[in-house]
Amino acid sequence: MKTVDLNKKQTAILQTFGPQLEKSGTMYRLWVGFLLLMILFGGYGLFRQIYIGHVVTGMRDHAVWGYYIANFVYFIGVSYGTAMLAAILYYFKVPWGRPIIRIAALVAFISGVIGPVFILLCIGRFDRLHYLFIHARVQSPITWDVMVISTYLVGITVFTYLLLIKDFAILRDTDKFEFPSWRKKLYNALALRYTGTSEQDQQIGHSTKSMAFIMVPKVVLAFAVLSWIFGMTLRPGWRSSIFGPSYVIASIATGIALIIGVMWVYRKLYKLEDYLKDEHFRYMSLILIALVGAFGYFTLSEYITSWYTSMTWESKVTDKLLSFKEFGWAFHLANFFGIILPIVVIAFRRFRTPTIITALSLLVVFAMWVRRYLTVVPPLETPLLPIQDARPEYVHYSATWVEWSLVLAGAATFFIFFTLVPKLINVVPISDYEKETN
Amino acid sequence: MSESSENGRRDFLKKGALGVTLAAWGQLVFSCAPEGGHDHAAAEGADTVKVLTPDGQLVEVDQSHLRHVHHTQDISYEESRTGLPGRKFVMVIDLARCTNARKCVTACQKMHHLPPDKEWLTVKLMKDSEDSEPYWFPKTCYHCDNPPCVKVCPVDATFKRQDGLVLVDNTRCIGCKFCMTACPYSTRVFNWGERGEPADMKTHRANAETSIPGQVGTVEKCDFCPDMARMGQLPDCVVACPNGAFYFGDQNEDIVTNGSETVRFTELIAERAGYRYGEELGTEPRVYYLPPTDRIFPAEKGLEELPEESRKLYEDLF
Amino acid sequence: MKRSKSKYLQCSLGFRPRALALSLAMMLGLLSGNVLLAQEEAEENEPLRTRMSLSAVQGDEDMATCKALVRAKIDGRYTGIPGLEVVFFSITDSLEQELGRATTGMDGIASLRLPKAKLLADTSGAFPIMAIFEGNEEFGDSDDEITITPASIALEAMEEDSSRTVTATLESMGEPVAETDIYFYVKGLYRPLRVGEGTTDEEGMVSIDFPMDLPGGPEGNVEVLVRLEDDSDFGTVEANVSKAWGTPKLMAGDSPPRELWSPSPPLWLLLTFITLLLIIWGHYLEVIYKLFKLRKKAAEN
Ligand code: SF4
Ligand code: SF4
Repeated sequence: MKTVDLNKKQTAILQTFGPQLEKSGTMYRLWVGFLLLMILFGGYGLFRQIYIGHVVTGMRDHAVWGYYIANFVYFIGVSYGTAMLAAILYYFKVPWGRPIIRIAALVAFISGVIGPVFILLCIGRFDRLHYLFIHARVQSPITWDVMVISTYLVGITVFTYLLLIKDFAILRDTDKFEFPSWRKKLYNALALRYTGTSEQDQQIGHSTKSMAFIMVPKVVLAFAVLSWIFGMTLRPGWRSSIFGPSYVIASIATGIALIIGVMWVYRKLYKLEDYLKDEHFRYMSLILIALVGAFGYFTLSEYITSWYTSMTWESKVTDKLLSFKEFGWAFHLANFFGIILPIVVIAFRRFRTPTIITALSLLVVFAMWVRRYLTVVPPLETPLLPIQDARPEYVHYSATWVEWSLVLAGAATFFIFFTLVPKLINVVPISDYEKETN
Repeated sequence: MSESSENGRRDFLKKGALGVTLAAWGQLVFSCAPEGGHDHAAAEGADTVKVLTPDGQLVEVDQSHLRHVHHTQDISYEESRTGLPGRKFVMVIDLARCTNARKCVTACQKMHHLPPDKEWLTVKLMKDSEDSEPYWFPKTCYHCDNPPCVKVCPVDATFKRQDGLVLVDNTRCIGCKFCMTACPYSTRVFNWGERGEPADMKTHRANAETSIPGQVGTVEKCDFCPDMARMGQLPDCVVACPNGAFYFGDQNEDIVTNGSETVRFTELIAERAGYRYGEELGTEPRVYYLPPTDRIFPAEKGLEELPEESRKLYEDLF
Repeated sequence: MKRSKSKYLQCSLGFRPRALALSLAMMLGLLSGNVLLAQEEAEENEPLRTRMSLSAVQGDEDMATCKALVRAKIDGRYTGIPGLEVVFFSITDSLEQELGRATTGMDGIASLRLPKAKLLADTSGAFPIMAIFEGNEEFGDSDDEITITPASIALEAMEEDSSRTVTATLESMGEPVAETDIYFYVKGLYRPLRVGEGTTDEEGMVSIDFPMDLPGGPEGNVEVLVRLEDDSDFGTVEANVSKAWGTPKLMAGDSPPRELWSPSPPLWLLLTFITLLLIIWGHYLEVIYKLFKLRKKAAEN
């Protein structure tokens, strides 16, 4: 049987990844163990929640949604954002985009898996989930979302897989490493008998391109539907026309910030300075501040109009966000670290080093989470009629350990995925360098 | 009420201390009127309850004599979804008569077997502007004609019937709580844990008209007692209100009643300038309010019914 | 009459097990010297005192309904007690006859409907009726009696030149009854709505202008109800007639609306939804199909 031929550059990349594909050290094992423990702890929290009921969470009759929904919106948004980025970079063959596409697709894939889990956590009756299909009501934004998310998940999985096929074939054919036989079989199955003929190349290229093409409208739709889950209610702070766009922008920005983080770690860990170059960080950081700036503008325009016109119900929510007695600290700090600081710092050319950019990206990642939380919870705590309840937990939402355990488990899943992926496949696509020296 | 039960208990203990031959009294030995009055007593779940007669006596009464039980009507699933043919239920709440007596709240809790901290019907203290007088504002589900809660339900668990009622089928609800965020009037409540109703309720056949038995992880709310309507009886809150603040009836036949006065709906609304709360939201509620003009009692009087810690909630409104 | 009542009281006393416990308690109390207090306590074991009020309604078709409301003062308020059995009697000087039994409903009312012919009349032609609740462990006995003179209302409802008139004629034992207040109602789902009132003339007649705009019940029928209320002689006398004066609300064959809030979605929404799904999934299938072909081709090579 014919095998995939490699050129010099490709062989070099394979060599770089060799050690990490073959074996793993103690630190690595400890880290994986730690993450698994966190996930297990989340599993215990989930068990309590199913067994006892949602009383174990901090959600109550006014703030009926909390960390779970914030997390859901956050992760699924990141997924959409990164998928969009990967699709655009691929479709337009952006020259510097090649090593980033794969990481972006992987981020999209795993956040796309984690996100929906969180909306399930928020549902009171697990045993009735199939009702979503057998009793589906087309008028409900949740039905739209269920359809859109499952459709999207299939799409991003196929897209990510298409990006990986060629490399699976390379790993199948290489004789440089001693893989256990199960892995050989796995690569064999995943490579779909790809042997590098031009016909096959064309076919895969065409499929990937058309997946990338349709990804963009799909993601726009998915973003829209998700923001409509909020926008289709009468709540101030949710029912604003800028809600959707501002959510899109924030999510893509978060996705880029996360990609930057992953790039930085991989670059350090696997010495990929030749492939993930400084300029990659620079380009990404410029996109990041452009998006973050747009998000800042949307934020300003949303809240300044509601503040200026001061409609009672609306401005109650705005006042809570601005007031230091309520959500003020969180809101202002998130805006400072997530919007203003990155723009100011990255504006100076000499600060655009990978490490500074990564540090700022981390701030953005956290700040955007806080902003997600602040879009979900304060409107719920501000109903039209006054809450006159003697029970403090019914007035103010505060998450319990169960919610924390599951949120951390979600983060741990993200980390463990990115820890395990380099064991399976080289994070920099070898196949992309095929025309390099030929 | 709570005062009189306090006295009763004190009397009783005093007598006990005097060494009365209590042993002859069997179960009466341990009886004290529970704090908070008879509502709690009724909720204790035993077969008998102790009630306090006006002359300070404690008597045991079979619970079935005092507790009205919502009987699940033997109606088909379709009937529970389409409703009473040709009816359009409507409620009118006279704000001028509400003194926060809270009898509606406790009656509702009793009839639907709700724990004391779960209110399908709430009474809020409202104050429209800085200088206007506060007033008490009973709030049921408004059974909106353009119900945002029903629009968003993904599984048709909450639905609007032809007779105007918006109900929840708690055997269908998946507990996504979307309807709770969609309702602008904070009407819906969630079963965060077990509802803790009497054991005999657990075996009730589930029915969208009663939300009995309650199901953990699902949504429930005020249902305008459609099972009572089938028997030609008024909802429990209407009957319980000592001031006749709730009028209820069929808008189609244009008659509403508060149990003692029966009037034409259109005339009542026209004469007293009835309005719907949150009209600008486009939800088209089926509950009308009569403005709190010419009130007999000052709003402060309503505080008397409340326990000390709840009173604090309203302090800044006076 | 007195005789028969006390007979009932006696027999009900004989079956009261609490009476035994009561005397036991009193004895024990005597022994310990707390006579007075024990007596006070003993009173606590007494069943709750009840009160009965009996009323009767003479309706159409020579039927009568006896209603006995049994109440007890609970927590300071007279409350109707459900689930108690009440026995109704027809009692004249010479005869007594059990009419039937009924159990009190949620509102504490036990009602018994029967043909007037079954009631015994006294010498003046009136019906003496008695109701007794015999008492049980929790509730003490109570009774009430009334005497009603037979009466009936004839009812006529007419529509003429966009005006409606309802005329009621009250008569008792063949004679018209004058100078009596009569009330006119329309039946509602819960309670009747009063639409007019008047006093009968020499011929026992009274008529009112009936409102034109009452929509009536689900079928569009307006049920007119006329009543002489709680009269000392006649009790309540009522008559009713149903007229198709309203607007029917039951529309057969009405298909349920396609709205955002109804079970079936608006068509455009459904179509958009399905079209979008089909486009995207169709595209997926194409790509996946091509992947399979890729495999197959390679195998052929
Ligand atoms: S008041 Fe709320 S729960 Fe009731 S029908 Fe209207 S929107 Fe729905
Ligand atoms: S919580 Fe239940 S009733 Fe409410 S929208 Fe979800 S499934 Fe429907």
